[in-house]
Amino acid sequence: MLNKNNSVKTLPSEKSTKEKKKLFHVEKRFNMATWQSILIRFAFILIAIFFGLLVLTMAYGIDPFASFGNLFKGAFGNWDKFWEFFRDSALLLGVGLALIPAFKMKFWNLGGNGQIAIGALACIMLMVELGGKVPDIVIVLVSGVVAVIIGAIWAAIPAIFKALFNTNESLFTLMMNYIATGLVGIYIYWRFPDESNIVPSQSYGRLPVLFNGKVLIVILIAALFVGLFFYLKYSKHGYELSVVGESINTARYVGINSKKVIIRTLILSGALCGFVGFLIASGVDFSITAENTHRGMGFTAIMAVWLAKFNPIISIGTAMFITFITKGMSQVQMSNSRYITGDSATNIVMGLIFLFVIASEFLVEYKIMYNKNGKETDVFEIIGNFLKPVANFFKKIFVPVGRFFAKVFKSIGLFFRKLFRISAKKEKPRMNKGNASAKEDK
Amino acid sequence: MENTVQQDISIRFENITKTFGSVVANEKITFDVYKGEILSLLGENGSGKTTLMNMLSGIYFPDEGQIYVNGEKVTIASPMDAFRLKIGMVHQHFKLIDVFTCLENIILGITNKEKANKSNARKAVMNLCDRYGFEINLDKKVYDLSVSEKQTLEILKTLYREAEILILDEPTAVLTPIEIKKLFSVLTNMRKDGKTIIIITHKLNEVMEISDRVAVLRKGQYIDTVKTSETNEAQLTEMMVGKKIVLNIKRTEPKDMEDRLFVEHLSLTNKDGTKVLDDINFIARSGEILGIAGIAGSGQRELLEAIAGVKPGYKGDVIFNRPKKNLPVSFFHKTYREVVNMAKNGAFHYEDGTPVDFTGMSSKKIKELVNKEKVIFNENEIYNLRNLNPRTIRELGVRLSFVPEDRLGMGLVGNMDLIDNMMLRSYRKGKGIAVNRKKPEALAEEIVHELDVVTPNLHTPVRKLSGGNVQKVLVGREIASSPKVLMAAYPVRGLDINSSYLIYNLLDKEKQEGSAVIFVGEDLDVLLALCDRILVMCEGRVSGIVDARSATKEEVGLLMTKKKEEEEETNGGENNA
Repeated sequence: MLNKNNSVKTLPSEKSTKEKKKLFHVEKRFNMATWQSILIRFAFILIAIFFGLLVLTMAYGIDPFASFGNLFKGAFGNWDKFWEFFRDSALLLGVGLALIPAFKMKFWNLGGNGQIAIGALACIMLMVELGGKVPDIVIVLVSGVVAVIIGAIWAAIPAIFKALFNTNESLFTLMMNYIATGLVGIYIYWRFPDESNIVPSQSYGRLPVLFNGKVLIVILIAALFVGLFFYLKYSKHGYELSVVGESINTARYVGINSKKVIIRTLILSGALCGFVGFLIASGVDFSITAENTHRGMGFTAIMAVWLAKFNPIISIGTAMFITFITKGMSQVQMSNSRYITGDSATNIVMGLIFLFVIASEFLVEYKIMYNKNGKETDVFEIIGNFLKPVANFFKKIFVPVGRFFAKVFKSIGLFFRKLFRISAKKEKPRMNKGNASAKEDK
Repeated sequence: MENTVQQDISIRFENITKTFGSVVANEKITFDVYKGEILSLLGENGSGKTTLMNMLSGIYFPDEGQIYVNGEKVTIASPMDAFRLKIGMVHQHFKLIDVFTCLENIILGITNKEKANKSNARKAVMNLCDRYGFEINLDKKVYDLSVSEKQTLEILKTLYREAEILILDEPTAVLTPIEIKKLFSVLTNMRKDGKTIIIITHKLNEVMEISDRVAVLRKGQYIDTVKTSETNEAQLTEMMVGKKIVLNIKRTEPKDMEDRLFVEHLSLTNKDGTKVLDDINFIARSGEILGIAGIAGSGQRELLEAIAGVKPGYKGDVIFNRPKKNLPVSFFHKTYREVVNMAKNGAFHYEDGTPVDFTGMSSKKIKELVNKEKVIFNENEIYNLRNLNPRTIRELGVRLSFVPEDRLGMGLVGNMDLIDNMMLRSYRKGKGIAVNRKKPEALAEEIVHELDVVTPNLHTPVRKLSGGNVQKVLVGREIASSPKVLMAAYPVRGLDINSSYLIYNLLDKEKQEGSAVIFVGEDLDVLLALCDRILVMCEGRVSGIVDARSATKEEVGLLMTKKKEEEEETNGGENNA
């Protein structure tokens, strides 16, 4: 506590230096190169996997090196797993794509699970009721359309309430999840009272098989991706929804009807979730349960798109990464099933990874300054100085290799450019301009 | 009595300077506050009153200078220090916890166990209430209190902390006249008790009513302190706004004036039931700049937002007189039937003056006639914009531009790049579902080039630009549509001198090109130098319209703080202009 005499002595100049004399402090970082930020994130993911395996080793006594191999085995072990990996990534991406427009609008749609489940339920009901009575292709088309509509309605309800009465969308969509899973349970209980909470595998109305029954789903999601990418980036609707998300006041200022935009976007979001539900029901499970049909993707996809900062292209990477970890960890767990039960191992590692990725975001945004005798240096610089010899060593190896590859890619690029010169003429000047100015910037 | 009391100096400010970035909020302020007096701290918006008092109450720390309390040098580094020195401040925005009761709010943060005890506190507070005449129910939750009760609670809080020096920041801004009377009687009681009271205000009549002395600040500088009994409102206004400074702002003579925008009986009530605009009437003319002056929060922002359609739900009319007379006819957004009907009512005529009749013609033939530019409008088109939203106004073909006060929060989208921000108004143009970014890109390039916007490239998010450049982008976009009415709310706020002059010149250029410019400003010198007429607002009403070429600063300053009764006689000023 300061008393009056003391306070006289502390002059303003002394006081201000006193505040700065902390050993570490945080500063906002500007102008970080893209490759640096990618490197930081990558390093943190590696550290996270390392820590995750370390924890598992300590907790369960499993072999960390073998586990690291199992991680890859689980995702790419054989052709079946390989395609399964792509299919599951695609499904997760599909849910992510559904969430991106809503999230870009700052409408926190936590109801992905429910929208998937209700879409799947609609699809299964049609498969059960129409199976054998009409051609399969009719069932597929009808159930696809119905699942999309039902999913859209499921998301539109909270959107309408949000638009008209400004209710909290997070709680509302979350509650809709429970209603949806409840409805699934009721349907199973009502239609198949003898089964144990599962609809028996349906053989009618399945999605047509292309090669191996997984490719078609990937293709459909890829098509969706292209559509949504253009919708967000180049359509008037996409532009409107980002204006509404950034600032309701600006929307008001230019006369955008934000209520309409909210409802419209959520219809799109729910429809896509419903479509994923349809894919799962008629292309993967051919059955439905109250708890597992949605695979929790309504939440997992949130992580995927959040890590990608709502960028659809980066979402491909994050969706694949999350699927990779999930699949890999279940392999780790299976090969150690004597020690590890349930999916606790997966969850621990996933949790750690997200923790670390979020931490890396902090380091991308801010830098930590180390204060030594009044001289401040970035902590990264200090670490960098330690690692310089190592870096130089790698540089010696990788730079020539990199140059070689750069040359190869360049010549391939040149070849293609020659090939498509005429058709690309229109677009080229604009693209180049953007790139050129971006380069000057750096 | 006065003579004896004024001997003791309670607070002395000595060379107090405070800067925020490049803005000097207080510059070398030196004056005394005597014990047991009510001192009014008078000044316009942004003159540094609140900053100075925040330094006394420990929220800011002065860059230079020294504060003395009761003759001793003190360092007030935090509100706790201020509390120890028995200084209490009631902020304009109350610092209360909504879900706590009054009593809990009073004892909040008190470390002394005796004093923090609820039953002790209740007794002591009841004593205080009796002594000074407060009325309050201590068990009410804060969210149930009215504004004046909250204020009472804030004052009680400081008194319970044994404050001897009480600072009130704009205490009457939120009160009704009866509540103000009550407050003043309490303050007089406190003065009798020997407490020192500082009131921050810009209301002259209250200054005259309650205070013993008045200290005046202007643009961060201390002007003088005068005894209330020895001064009058006119003198105080002059001290507050200062002598007219000659600015080198270009002002061209208005030409081709035409009544463009009629605002008639416009009234707006906020959601909480307070009247923000009360029966506003004026005419904006093409080829002139109409300035709007007033203390911040007198309804200027709401007025522009209402006209622009951003704040619908008002009463009254906004009538836009679209200049069409003697211009070749072209049709947007009109159906065939509408065009024929317009012709029937004599809306068009041929170049030689004979009326046009489209009845029976095919739409192709009409188009042919029109495209030869042989058909001319007979009369101006009149639109009532009442409660239309900005998009509808635009679709009517009314070119009404608005540069809002909140640039990044309303006029632009901070996270979008320059090109996307250019599209805000026009993205719906063109057929199909895809947006066309070519024209906006060209526009962005043009604006960057012509207004010297400093930006790495066109793909930079606008929030990364500096304030001046952000404003250039916004004004550039709004001017680009060659508006018939251009409204700008505080367009130079926070801008450096060069950018400010660029904006003034742009506004003047728009005026020359025949748009009706409405300019809401803060700096009276600028308003007087740039505008042709100045409309002065006070508490949501028009308190007068003056000719900017002949009006004096004092005249405008008085109108800004005018009471309602006198408004009738000044309304005649509109005719003079």
